[in-house]
Amino acid sequence: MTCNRAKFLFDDYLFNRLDPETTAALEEHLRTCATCRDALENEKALVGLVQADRTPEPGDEYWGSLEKVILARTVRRIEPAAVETDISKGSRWRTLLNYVVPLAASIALLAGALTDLGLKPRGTAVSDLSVLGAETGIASDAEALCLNVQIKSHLLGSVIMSPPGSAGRGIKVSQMTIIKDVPDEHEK
Amino acid sequence: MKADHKELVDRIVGGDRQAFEELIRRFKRKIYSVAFKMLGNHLDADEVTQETFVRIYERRKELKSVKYLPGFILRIATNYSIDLIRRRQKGFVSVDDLVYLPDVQTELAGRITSPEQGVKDTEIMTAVKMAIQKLPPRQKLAIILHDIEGYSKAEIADALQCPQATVRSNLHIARSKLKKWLAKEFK
Repeated sequence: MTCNRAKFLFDDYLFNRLDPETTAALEEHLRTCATCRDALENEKALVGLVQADRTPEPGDEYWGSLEKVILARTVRRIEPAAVETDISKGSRWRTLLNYVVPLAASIALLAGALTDLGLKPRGTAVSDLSVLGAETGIASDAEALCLNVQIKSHLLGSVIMSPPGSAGRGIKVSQMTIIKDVPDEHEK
Repeated sequence: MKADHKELVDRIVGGDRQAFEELIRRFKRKIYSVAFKMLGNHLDADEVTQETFVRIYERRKELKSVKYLPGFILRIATNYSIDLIRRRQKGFVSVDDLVYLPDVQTELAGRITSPEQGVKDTEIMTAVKMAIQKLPPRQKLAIILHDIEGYSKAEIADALQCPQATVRSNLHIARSKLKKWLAKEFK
């Protein structure tokens, strides 16, 4: 075996990848060639140094979370449409919560405020309350009934627009009770 | 392809998420190890490990025609590692640029007679790490995959999609550079 051939085989010899016949032939050459023996030792030392360079172990916490991270990254990359759809669904709900609910609340508050300011149309309320006043016997003549109805239309409107169970509704009802007494005094 | 690899591949191609998770479990440490040695830090090694699996899933249809699964995975990991190295290499000095000193004799054999002794010598180990990091990507890969990770030249050739002779050449040049550089370092 020539020195060039021997050097060509060093790698596989060091990693035990030579067949027995070639190994025997190489070892025979090494016994007789000091230059190749030195070269092989040199190669072995370098491989040993390189192999001694170990990778630091990141730890179980890293390995445990790595799969989830990779799966999440894969989903983002491969199935952006699916992720987009999920985000869109979420957005719709968020839009509903962010805009529709406050809008509805604002409308309710505005309506309540307008009623409290006496801006509710009185024509309709007057006719309804005329009947109510007549049934309760509050007014005995047309003038008293008209005055009474004007007051009650404002108060009853507030009662209707107040949320059930609210303090506002209770106050208005009690005021209506007081008003009920006014015509009685007028009759006297 | 090995029987257990084949079954796993079939399931992945069919869109089985658990099979993909199994693939990650099987190969994540190997990829991380190679990437860490190629790039020299945890963040880049982590990036290569993650991106490798994402790319495998992207190319899962190709898995059916793959003959050697570890080689295919290694190819994706090493290609991405090389990409990252090239992106980050600006400003680094390659061993190719170092002055060649023909008279310097390699003293490694005299200084280090066994791998065990080498491990104890942190100064030498640091120099070896630095020298490996300074190698051009293909030569670095040859050293890491062959000498450290224990892949055969055929496996490396398959992974890097080049002839075995190229792997052998890269390995030889890489070792020569390491010897020269380390000899100069410890003269």
